[in-house]
Amino acid sequence: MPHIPEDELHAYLDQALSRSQCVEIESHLASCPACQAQRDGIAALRDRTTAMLAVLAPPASLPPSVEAIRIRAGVLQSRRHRMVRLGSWAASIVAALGLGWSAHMWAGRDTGRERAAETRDRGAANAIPEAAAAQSSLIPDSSARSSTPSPRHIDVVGSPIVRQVATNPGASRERPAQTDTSRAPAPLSPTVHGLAADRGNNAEDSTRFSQVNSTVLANEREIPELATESMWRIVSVAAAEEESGAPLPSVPGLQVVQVKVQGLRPNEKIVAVDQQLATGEVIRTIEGPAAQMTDLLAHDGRDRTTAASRAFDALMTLRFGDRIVAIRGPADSLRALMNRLAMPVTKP
Amino acid sequence: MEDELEALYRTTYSAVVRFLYRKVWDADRAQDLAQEVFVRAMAHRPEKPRAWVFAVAANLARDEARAAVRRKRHLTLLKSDPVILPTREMAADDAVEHDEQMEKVQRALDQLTPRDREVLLLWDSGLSYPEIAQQTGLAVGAVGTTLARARRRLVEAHDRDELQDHEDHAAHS
Repeated sequence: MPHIPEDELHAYLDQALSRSQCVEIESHLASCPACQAQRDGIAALRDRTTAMLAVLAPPASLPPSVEAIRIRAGVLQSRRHRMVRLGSWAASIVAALGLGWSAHMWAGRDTGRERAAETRDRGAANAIPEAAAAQSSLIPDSSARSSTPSPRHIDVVGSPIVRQVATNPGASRERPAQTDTSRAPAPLSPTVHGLAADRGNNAEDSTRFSQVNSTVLANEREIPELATESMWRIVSVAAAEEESGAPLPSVPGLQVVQVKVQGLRPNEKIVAVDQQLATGEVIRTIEGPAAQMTDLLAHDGRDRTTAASRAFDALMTLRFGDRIVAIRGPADSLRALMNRLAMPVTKP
Repeated sequence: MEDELEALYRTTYSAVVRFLYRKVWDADRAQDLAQEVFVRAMAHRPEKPRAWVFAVAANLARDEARAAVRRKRHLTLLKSDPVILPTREMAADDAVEHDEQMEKVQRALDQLTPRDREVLLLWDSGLSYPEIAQQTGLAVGAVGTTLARARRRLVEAHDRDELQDHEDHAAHS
């Protein structure tokens, strides 16, 4: 038998060989002084490297208790869970805008100005099925996805929208104050209460957003109810939360009138929450996995280009990792909501 | 009953700290990162926790090394950072000698290729050949070869350094 290769002797001494390989090596060693010497040399080399590396050790320290680690793991888990499930969609919108995501808004309003906008945007209107398909454009760069919503992000909430406004000559002429990006934006949730009250008070405010984005006029009555509506199950708030394993996707402070869930597998659940505004109109927040949501929204938008009448509806979608939140409701309410995000804290 | 990860934490924590320390050269930082590794492990519940823990530790250390500031500190740390001193009281001479020893071994380790160094450190942390193979992407059969080379080169580099030292001393005196 030829001599034992060096690496096999290392593996032998490291006890990384099978029993039969060991037997083979040992029987050879018994009758081969050269390999014995080689083995002893390698054993010494092993011991020396171990001793050398032992010098490279930090001072002994007591590890924190297992409990401390477990608690931190729990916090990490719940944070991840919250982020993924978008339990607090409001915070996510803030984060999304803060991170420079763009929101699409399909909205319409029967004002003269918007009719002009409609004419201008006719091409875009015809392309609405693509708009649904093009939701990939809503996906932020992946590095942003792992960021936790934090006050730091709120600081920059206003800028993306405001910057867009500034690029529109008409809008910037009308609302020069809005181009002041240095002013602090409004925190979302406290302002949402006033959403309904804010509606219609300020025509410029409520139409500003539609100038920023391509707008599509749509007829509520011609929009089929969400195509998969028949699969919805009406459930209680508690049941929905239990089923989806997350807090309801909803606007804080508004009365919840109905909660619906669809999907059977846990990670395919879509939750829709209807909430009533002070005016009696309903705003619906739908949250679910991107794939299912894209289907849902594509159906929802299919007939929009035939819009002609005056009952209008808006749909705003935000993509967050592999999940999408859609908020549907009166166009001006949603605009007000978006405006709030871009407006300074202190509003006269 | 103690769960597998908690048992792993008790038995492997110091090995992970040591493994990280040999990459970031900062005892406090190594401990922070080791804790982060186990926090993630308990949140994730990986299938092969021991290999997973070292893989994540290696990733964290790599991220850490990317920070140029750290890299700069790494060179001065051995001399300036008191935390590297063993906790028990040592005579000043012993402490200096210990520092020199560390510096020499660190220099020798730095002369290995990244792969040789990684395999050697993983082995020294208690990983098996198959675990090392999985983490480094080597074939199991190649782990022995790599370890053999790494050990030889580490000792050679160290001896060269010693020899150089002696010559320097001889030249000065």
